[in-house]
Amino acid sequence: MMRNKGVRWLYGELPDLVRQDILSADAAETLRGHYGPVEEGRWRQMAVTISGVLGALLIGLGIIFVLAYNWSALGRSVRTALSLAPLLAAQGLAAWVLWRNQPSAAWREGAGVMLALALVASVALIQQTYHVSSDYDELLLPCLLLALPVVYLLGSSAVAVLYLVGVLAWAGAADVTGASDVKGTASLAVWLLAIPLAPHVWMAARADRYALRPVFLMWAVALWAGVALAFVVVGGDVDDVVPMVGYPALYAVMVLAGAVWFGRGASLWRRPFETVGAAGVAVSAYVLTFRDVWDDLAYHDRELAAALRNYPAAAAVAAVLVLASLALAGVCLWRRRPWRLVLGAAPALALLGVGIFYATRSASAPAWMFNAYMLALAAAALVTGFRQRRLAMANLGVLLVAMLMVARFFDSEMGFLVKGIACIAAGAGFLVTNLVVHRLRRRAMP
Amino acid sequence: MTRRAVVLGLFAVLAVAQLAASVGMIARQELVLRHGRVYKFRAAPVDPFDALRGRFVALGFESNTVPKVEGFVVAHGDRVYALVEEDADGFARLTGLVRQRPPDDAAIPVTVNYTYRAEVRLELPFDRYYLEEDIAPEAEAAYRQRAREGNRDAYVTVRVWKGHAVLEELYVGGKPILEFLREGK
Repeated sequence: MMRNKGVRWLYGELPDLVRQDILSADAAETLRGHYGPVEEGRWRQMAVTISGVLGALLIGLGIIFVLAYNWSALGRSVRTALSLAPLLAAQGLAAWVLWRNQPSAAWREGAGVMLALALVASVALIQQTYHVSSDYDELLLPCLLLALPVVYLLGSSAVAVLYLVGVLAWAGAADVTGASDVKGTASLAVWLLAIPLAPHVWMAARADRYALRPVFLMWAVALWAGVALAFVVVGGDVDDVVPMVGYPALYAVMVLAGAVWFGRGASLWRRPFETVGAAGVAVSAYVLTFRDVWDDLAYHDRELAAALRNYPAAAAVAAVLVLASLALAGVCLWRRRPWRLVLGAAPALALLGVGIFYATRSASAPAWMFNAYMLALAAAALVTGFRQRRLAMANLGVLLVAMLMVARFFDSEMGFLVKGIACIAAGAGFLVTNLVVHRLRRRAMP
Repeated sequence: MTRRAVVLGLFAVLAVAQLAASVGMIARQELVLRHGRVYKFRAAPVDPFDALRGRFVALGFESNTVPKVEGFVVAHGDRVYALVEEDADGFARLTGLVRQRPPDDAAIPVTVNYTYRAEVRLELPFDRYYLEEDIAPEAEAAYRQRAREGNRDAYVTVRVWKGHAVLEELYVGGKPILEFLREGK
């Protein structure tokens, strides 16, 4: 990808260089021969696929909205027949794509998205025609289960992503949280429903895990997991300890798993698990720098044992995530990628913080421990940014420090003078960082 | 057998399952509407919106509670059957709860909402009547107007058959809602 960009730039420069006699026409031609043609195919293919999916999405949504506009002027039998029309049309299109064995991703993705949406539209129309009073969760679940095979038959990753979104919508509509489910076990259904997509992700990543399709799918999975975890560990009387440990553990698992299996992606975009995981660890750690968060544990103090007993699913998920993060940390050490452990240490520190709180009954110690951890994350980002001459990474380090300063402003008794000086220092930090990285880059240029 | 034939065969199975889910839903409603016993429930419409299924008249009912019975313990979310009787005016009245569907069509499936003192409050399986986007607010306004004038003549007819209940029509002033609105213009 980077090579293409460079070659495209070079080819754009060649005519000028030849015109100014810096380069002979023969030398320019030799260069063209050496680098060969610029590969445009992948991007064009992606653009066509996106157009196909967007087209199908818009047509599907349009059908839903047109038909949601009630149509009581028509008789019941006509309405019933028309309710099936979008489904039959979408099935016809999908059957044609399969019959022609269309290799085009645009056709397959478009037909898949249209079929999934037509299914929902048909069921919704029938329910409207017969005044059926079901809730969204009752409408969505059968549609999700009937749309799932489309992912495999048409090989549609867009339907897979729609399915993941649908699972979250279903969980939200069904209120599948610890609050509504005494044992918290129903919330696991969110994860169980996602498992059937695993083979699709694996098949997409098998040939090239850094290609557009698997990267797109893994972004969806990484973002989905953060929301899905909320249905298990947040809400109701699930104790604060569970999300306090569960979220750092989830994102640490993402960072470490990303480093182990997807660590060779050329950019952050190509390493979705590491990118989402690192952001998640930073946000989780930032939350844990606030004293109030730890103080709240005192209210749950006497209920901790009861909460873990009453919500074994939530506690089990958090425990599995912690164990997975420890195992992956071991793999990272073994493969000599120790610097990722700075991010991977978050769940262990959260557990340590909980232990310190219950041992000392003080919120200060764990909160300051996470302040120190945030500074360590910032330092790691700065060092990486300077070493690799990556401005964004270095700025991220300064941003983390600035975030920490802002947070401490709100819960400290510092005077305006001190706060003002700290602000100036943070601003100067940004400027100096940019200057240093620019100089390092210039020095590295031949 | 080629891979394409296998995929097409599996797709045919999926398409049949998708259609069966939709057609099965239609068939169940149609059977209830054709063979079901008719009950009239006094209604109290309001006008909310369903993003996926359009605008509807939300229905509340005068008869949505049954007396609590000693020994018959129910909790929020329980799905049971409510026994239905007709009062002297011909309107449906819920009289009690049973767990097993009785052999006749004198019971509707309900969900327990909550229990308060000597009453069990129920959610009925027909609480919305879908209407055209611009008609629904008119329906609500018409209902409110008549309610202000002291009329309690909004009701729905519901067909009940083999444990299923399907809403058939919403009546205001003794006429189907669309006819009532047409004549009112």
